[in-house]
Amino acid sequence: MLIHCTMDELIAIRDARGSKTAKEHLENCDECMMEMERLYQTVAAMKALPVLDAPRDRWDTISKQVVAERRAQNKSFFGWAGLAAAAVMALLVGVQTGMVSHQPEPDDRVVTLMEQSQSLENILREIKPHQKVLNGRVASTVVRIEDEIRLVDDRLSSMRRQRAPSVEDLEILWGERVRLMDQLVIVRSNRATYVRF
Amino acid sequence: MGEMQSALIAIDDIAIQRAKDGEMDALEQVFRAYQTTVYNTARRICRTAEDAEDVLQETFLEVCRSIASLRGEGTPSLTSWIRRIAASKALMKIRREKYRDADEFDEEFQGATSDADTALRMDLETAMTQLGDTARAVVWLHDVEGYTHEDIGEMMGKTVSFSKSQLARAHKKLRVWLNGGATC
Ligand SMILES: [Zn+2]
Repeated sequence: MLIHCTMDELIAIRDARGSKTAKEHLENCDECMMEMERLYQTVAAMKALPVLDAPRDRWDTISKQVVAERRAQNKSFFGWAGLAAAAVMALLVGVQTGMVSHQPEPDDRVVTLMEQSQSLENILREIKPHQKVLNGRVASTVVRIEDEIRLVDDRLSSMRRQRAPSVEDLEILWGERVRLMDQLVIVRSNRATYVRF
Repeated sequence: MGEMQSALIAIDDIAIQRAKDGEMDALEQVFRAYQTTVYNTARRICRTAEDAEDVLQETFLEVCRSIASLRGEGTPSLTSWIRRIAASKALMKIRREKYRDADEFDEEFQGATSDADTALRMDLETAMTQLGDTARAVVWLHDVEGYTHEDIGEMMGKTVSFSKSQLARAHKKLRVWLNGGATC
């Protein structure tokens, strides 16, 4: 047989999910056997890469921040979320009052999305204080969604630095924020343990 | 995982419980036990040592904030939880860096070396740095750290087939860069 295994097929065979045809070819083809051997060698070499030490000890910085967060009021997720929302609200007010030059009128839909986002935050506040015990999988899903929200907030903040931020972009970002907040509510209220983005 | 497992310093159940209670000296023990594991995951996924250090810091901030809510007893559940946070933070870092560089540009062209440079064989560390961020992350998490495509898809917010195709893409490139010649 002249058609050799593709890399996808070799990996599939290695991971015990290869097709019967590909396996049969592999068993009878020296070239493909050689490729499979290379694949194993590459992974073995990756596993044998030296263990690296972090260049600096970060514990001091981490512990100071943890202590500071514990002391601060509204130290949790809602602290930064509220700040980000306030910052964008300020931007919208700027847009509405003409402080930002060359702006189109803000779309009501943005304001609606911001209100939805705020309502979802209120719902989350209801859940949060009880500190429901989460298993590792749910906890990491929560972390991931919160990271996604931070990413959206980063982008909202960066819009503040633009001279002419577009209302369309604001609407997209706030829509995304509402979607993520909604997923966070679902996961935190233990209605689902898995959310696909 | 062999190398990194051996780098792990043992932490006992009492220390884990005290860390869950928020005691700073116990949290420091958790940090000391896992910092090498976390840093290595981060360093192999991120482009720079600085980014990996940021991931190390962000991971342990998250650990300190959330460890009280972790269910499951003993070291194994703590280990898998911390490793997963580290992987998620590292993946988030490369996404952020991509946004910073330029939205959605093709990772194929991130590396300075193209497939055409087959005459030059690279060492593995260099070859890893030449891979696109996503392909590098997937090959590391799947083939070295043992995550499934389902895990990786979930952490990236992508499909299982996306993870599989990134893994094949990574190996095709590594095959050319490490051994020379065309892939089959
Ligand atoms: Zn063949």
